[in-house]
This record gives sequence, structure tokens and C-alpha cells, in this order.
Amino acid sequence: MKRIHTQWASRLAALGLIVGLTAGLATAGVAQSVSGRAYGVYASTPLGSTVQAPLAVLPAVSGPDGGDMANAESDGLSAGSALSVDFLNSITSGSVDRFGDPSAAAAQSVASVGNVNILSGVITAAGVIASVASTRTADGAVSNADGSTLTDLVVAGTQVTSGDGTVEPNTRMDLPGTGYVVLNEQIPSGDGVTSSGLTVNMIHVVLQQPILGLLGEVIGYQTVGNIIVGSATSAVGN
Amino acid sequence: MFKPRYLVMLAAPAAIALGVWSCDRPTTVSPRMSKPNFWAGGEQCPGSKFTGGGRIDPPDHLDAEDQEDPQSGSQISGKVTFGFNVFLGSDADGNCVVEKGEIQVVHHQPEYPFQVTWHVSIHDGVNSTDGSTPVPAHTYFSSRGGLCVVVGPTTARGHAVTLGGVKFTEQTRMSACDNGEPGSSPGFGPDAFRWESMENFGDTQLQFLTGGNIQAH
Repeated sequence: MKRIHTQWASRLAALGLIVGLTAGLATAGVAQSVSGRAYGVYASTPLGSTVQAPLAVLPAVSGPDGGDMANAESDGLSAGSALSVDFLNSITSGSVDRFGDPSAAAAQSVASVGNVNILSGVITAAGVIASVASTRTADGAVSNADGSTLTDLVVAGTQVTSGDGTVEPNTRMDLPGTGYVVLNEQIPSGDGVTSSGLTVNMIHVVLQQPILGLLGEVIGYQTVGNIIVGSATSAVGN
Repeated sequence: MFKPRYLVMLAAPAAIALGVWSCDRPTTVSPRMSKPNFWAGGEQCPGSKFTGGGRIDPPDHLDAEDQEDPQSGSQISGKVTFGFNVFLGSDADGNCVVEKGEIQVVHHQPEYPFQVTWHVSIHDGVNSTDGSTPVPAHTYFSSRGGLCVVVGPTTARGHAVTLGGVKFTEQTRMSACDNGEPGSSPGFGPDAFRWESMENFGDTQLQFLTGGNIQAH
């Protein structure tokens, strides 16, 4: 009887060791990761194209000295008749380990553009700022797009903002004969507990062409191009 | 000969200790910190690294309570975006200095010259623009229990974009406060940022962030 008790005690002790090790390592936190990128414009259309520019990408950040920043700028850019912009600036920064808390991490990105003219005046704006921030603490991981604004935005003749203003996330407006635009497009990622990320595209134009049936009727639309102005991404998580 | 009870004697305390340790870790990060025992004034560097980025909209969200010095020039107004990463250390005399870092600030002005950018780059303990000048820094605790850093005065390379691409250098100073997480939600604050263009464009004063975040380490 005594031998049986000893065997059970051994098994329980081994199980406790495994559970204890697992819980301890999980709570102690493992190396955090952060990422960020920002760019002023991107266009891929039959009217003109440009790569993501000026593009700032956060270098890999890790360890107790983990922190970095990247920036890029341009006085002006254009892509055929698809778009023209001035005063482009992209900044991204990130770090791990806040006040000695190994579970902490933060990344933040800002893209700014001025004098926006898309599709020869279909969309204009005096300025665009895309701003995102992602943080992780022991309480969880969150992201927001605070500080993202559109200045004097006009879409197809409609004044959307007067001065520096915000619009609701993922606001869609049709562009007759062209496609549609999504304003303050927000694309979240992560589980909100150990990871969180957010991409905000302040102006995302989707160019479409109708798909015609045998009798010439419109049976659908196909995307033939994309234009993005003011894009910022940040993410934290392991 | 191995006896099972030896395993019990070894494994049980280890498991208990690890379990207790894992449950005993702090579950929240307090934005408030107590001053360290060695704290004796603003000349030391209790924080070793500061990183941040985002936006301020001077003069609408002034953090007058934590602004260390009075306004140093004309009020910069409008939208200012920024990003930075600085590592602090001590020089041979024990003074707080920046060992390495980058600072980028952009002022989106509503009127001519419309946009001014500044960049500070610090490598091996000296400002990269002149290649020889150390960059002073100091830290102080905010009224909210956060930690603030002041970098400079130091030389920045400036670019007034619509002044025909005019480039210049001038003395600048940056202040940034980490008062909690997230740094700018909801609305604005609790983190704050200040940029001083000490020869040309003026002073934002210390402003609560309207976007972004600042982290002290």
C-alpha cells in the first residue's frame, strides 16, 4: 500500500513540475516583437503607377536595447494622371521592454502628405495624416489610429472635411464611372491579448470596370487598379 | 539506488516555487513610478532609452504642469508629427548624454512655407551633423508619475520644403514624457512632446499627444 502511494506521489510531483515550468515560462514573458511601416502613396493603375513611397520600415527590434526608428521623405511625387502629391513624410518607431517590463512593447507610425490630387481632381485634399500606435502591456495589446485626419477633403465634388477633420473608419463613397473610395480604411490584426496591429489607409481608391454580359448588360465589376494615399501600420506581439 | 521519494522531495518544491512565482508576477503595469534611491536631481539618467512617435497639435493641448522651462520662442502652431529613438548614457564626468539616436520632426504649417522638417542624428555620443559635439540630455519625473526626457540643445538639419528647398542647421531641443499606456487615447494624452526650433521657427511648448505613443525604458 505504501508503495502505491509513493508512485502516485511521484506522478503528481512530476505533473506539478511540468505545470509549474509551463506556467512560469509563459508568464515570465518571451521576447516581444514590434513592426511598423509607413508610406505616403501607392498607385497601380492603367493611368500611372508608383511603388509605396516614400517608404519607412522599422528595422528588426529585439533584446534589452531594442528600439529603433526609420524615416523617409520626398518633396513631391506623381504617377501619371492617377495622382500627384507634395510634402511626403513617413516615420515609424518601435521598442520593447518598458520600465523593465519584458512583456511590454510599442510601435507607432505616421505618414503625412500634402496637396493631394487624385484622378485629375476627382479627389483633392490639402493634407492627409495617417497615424497608428500599437502597445502591449501585461494588461493586453491594443492599437488605435488616433491623430489620423484629412484636411479639406473633397470627393467627387462633395466637401467631406472642412479644415482638419476625421471621418468614420471604413467610410465608402462611390465614384461614378470609376469605382469607389474607402476613407480611413482600418485593417486590424492580432488577438488583442498578446498581439495587436492596425493598418490605416486614409484614402484608398479602387478603380473598377464593368463586366459585360453577352447582350452588353453589366453583370459585375472587376478591379483594375488601386491608389492609396497616407498609409501607416504598427503591430506588437510575440 | 534511486528511490521515488527522492523525486518527490526534489520536484515538489520546485513545482510549488515555479507555480507561486508565475502567479506572483505583476498583472498590471503601473504608469506611476517612485523615484529611485539614487535620484538627486535632473542631471542623472534614470531612464536609459526613450522611443516614440506620433502627433501634436500646438497650442491646443498644453501640458503646462509638466513643462520644464518657459516658452523659448514664438508659438509654433498647426500640426507636428514626429518620431524618435534615443539611448542615454553618461560621459566621463558622469553627465547624462545621448549615446545614439535619431529624431525626425515635421511641422505641417497652414501657410507659407507649408512644411519644415528637422532631423537629428547622434552616433557614438556625438551629433553627426558636426561630428564632434556631445548631445546633453536629462530626465525628470512628471506630475503624473511618468518619466520625461530632454535632449539638447543640439544641432538639427532642417529643410523648409517650399522655400525653394532651403536647407539649414540650427539649435533644437526635444522634450518627451511617458505618462502611461496608450500614449494618446482617448482623445489626447497622457504622453506629451515638445519641439524647440531655437533659432528660426519657435517652440511648440509641451503638448499632449493627439496620436502616437512615447515609451521610457
